Amino acid sequence: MSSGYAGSILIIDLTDGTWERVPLDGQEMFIGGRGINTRLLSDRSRPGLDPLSPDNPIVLGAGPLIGTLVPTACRLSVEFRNVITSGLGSGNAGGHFAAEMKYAGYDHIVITGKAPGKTYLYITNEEVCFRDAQEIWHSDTWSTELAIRSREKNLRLRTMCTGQAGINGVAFASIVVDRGRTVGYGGGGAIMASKNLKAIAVHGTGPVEVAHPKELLNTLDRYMKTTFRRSKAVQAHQRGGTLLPYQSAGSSRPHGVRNMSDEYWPDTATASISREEFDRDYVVQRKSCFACPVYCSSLYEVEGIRTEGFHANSFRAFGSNIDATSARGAFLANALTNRYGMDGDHTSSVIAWAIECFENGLITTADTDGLELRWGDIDTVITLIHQIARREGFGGRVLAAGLHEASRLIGRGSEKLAMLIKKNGLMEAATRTNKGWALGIMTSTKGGGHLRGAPGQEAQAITPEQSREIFGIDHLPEPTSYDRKAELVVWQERYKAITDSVGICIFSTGWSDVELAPVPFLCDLLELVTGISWSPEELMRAGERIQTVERMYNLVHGGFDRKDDMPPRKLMDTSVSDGRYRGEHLDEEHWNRMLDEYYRLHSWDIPTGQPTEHALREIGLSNLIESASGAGIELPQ
Amino acid sequence: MITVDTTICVGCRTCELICSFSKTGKFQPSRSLIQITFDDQCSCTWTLDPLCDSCYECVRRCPVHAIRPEREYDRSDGLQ
Repeated sequence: MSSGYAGSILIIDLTDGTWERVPLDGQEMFIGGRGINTRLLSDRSRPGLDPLSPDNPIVLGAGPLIGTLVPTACRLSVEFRNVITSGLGSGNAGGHFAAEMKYAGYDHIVITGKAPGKTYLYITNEEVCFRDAQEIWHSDTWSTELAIRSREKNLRLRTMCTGQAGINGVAFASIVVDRGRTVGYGGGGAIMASKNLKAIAVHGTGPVEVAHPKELLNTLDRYMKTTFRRSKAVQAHQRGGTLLPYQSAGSSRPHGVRNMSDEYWPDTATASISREEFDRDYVVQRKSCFACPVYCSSLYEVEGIRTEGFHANSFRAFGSNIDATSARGAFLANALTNRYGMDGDHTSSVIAWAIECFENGLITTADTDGLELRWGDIDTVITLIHQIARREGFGGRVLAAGLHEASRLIGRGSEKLAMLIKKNGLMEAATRTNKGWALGIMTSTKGGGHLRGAPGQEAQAITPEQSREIFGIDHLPEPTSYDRKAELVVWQERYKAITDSVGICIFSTGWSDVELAPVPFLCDLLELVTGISWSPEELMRAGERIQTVERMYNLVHGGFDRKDDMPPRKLMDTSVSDGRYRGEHLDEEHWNRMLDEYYRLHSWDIPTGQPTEHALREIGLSNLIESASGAGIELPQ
Repeated sequence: MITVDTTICVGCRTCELICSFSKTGKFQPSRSLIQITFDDQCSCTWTLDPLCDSCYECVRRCPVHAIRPEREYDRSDGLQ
């Protein structure tokens, strides 16, 4: 075992009620966190298996920097087979859970099987306890943690759990960590419930040792002083989380409006859900994740419901994407999705689709049991959230199945209005205007979304010198250009794979501010913490390896290739209606050229988008050639 | 000695990290002399072991200045 790592993987079989501790390996190839998780998942997945089958594992990972003083090193990586796409299910949550895992002595936890009865796990340094969860089975995510704290008489334990949405089999049920942080995409909450697993609680008391303690402290002190605290992005998030910079930009930034039909939302609308009002009337206290000096989270209360969060995504989900301008309604909708344990992005996506269908006569009151679905009607959105989580009415019958399945159930051409990528519901901004951003979202191995290769750097003011030094691109064109964007996306994919694998938060990386956490600095941190030397090239190569394992997982288990990297037609057929980006849309020919370049940079096959045998061998993944072959897929040479 | 303003504390536990590190050379919150916990409403509470020797490493690194020293200390190397 080297420093930084706890050195162990905990493997739990729920069916037999047994567990074992095995030595950690794979650090040199996959770093840790998301990287090793993906390998563990890939090794344990069989093609054709239902995502809700007991044989599919849930894998948790806490990267090597977690548990130390490295700022924001707290991110819990969770990987599993995606309920909605059948490909990769993946998410990354803050809070304190991952740090407690490390202090309990585990870098990763693999959970397989299905418990014979309703169960929660309580993990400490010494043992894994299988507890009866019958009494808390139908509790919401907040109450679940309180009940477990009380039962275990331990106020320092941390939980991840599934709420009523997962218990009731909602396809996009999330896993809620620490009461307020979420592994949103992929239906992880439904998978937990299918295993009869309500929650995992963990508390550790052991140490995390580092290879070079004194040098680490000096390096961190210097970094905090010269870079971190001076970052304008960090300062903005400290002032008002992600909501403040997103909302205060008003109509000058591209949004996601009315089921992503537009990206212009007027200033009067953007001002309606304001950070100032949130702080004044709803926030109880600012909160941070473990070891995080950004403290972007807020504990807030609305109509007697206490929760955490309300970020830029929540603003989009329960504001612009349904064209609603009620602050109270948006805060309440977000609180409910947290408490029920359902992905806010997918919730918005499927409800916005239903509203657009209703407005176009494809869904009528005969389908909705009399409910009128109209843009801007947040109260009906809240009714639908309750219905989805409780599996009642139109929400429970149709929307709870997820956008892909719901549009199939309704039919009648409603499929054309479904904003889907790789069968997953999209709820994003700037997908017509910022071309690299759009490419990163559509190619994301999570099944869409901006938390893989979508480059936040594209919209930053970056000097040609910085661009050359960091990305090897002489001049980074404006966001609306297609030029050089494939290069930027491939760079960000590798970089994001690294930051997720070491365990730091995206808001403390170059995605947020190009000055933060550059690759050579991450090499320094890894050496000081773990004693393992990485060159920037080796680290980026590990990033490519992780990205490629995920791409292969989606090919083998989801059947996804080039055709699934094409954006929904709406983004090509309709343009931004007004404002600074009026007229912007995606052009199919330009998109295809950008995609060609994206595959070429990965050394993947351009016509199919599949990784080639040659590319896999080059990065030490020959074993995946056999896995693909076993699934009946002959990869291009 | 120190006091913690719980209305400001955001609960990052940087104080626990630096305290345990200063005393043991390892990151081990369970051995920190200052302990931060959260009640059922998510508000933080704190305790301090009498063995605290007022090194003020936690004061220097608290990102929101929630930890206050009982007496004046040399701020020239203050990090926050």
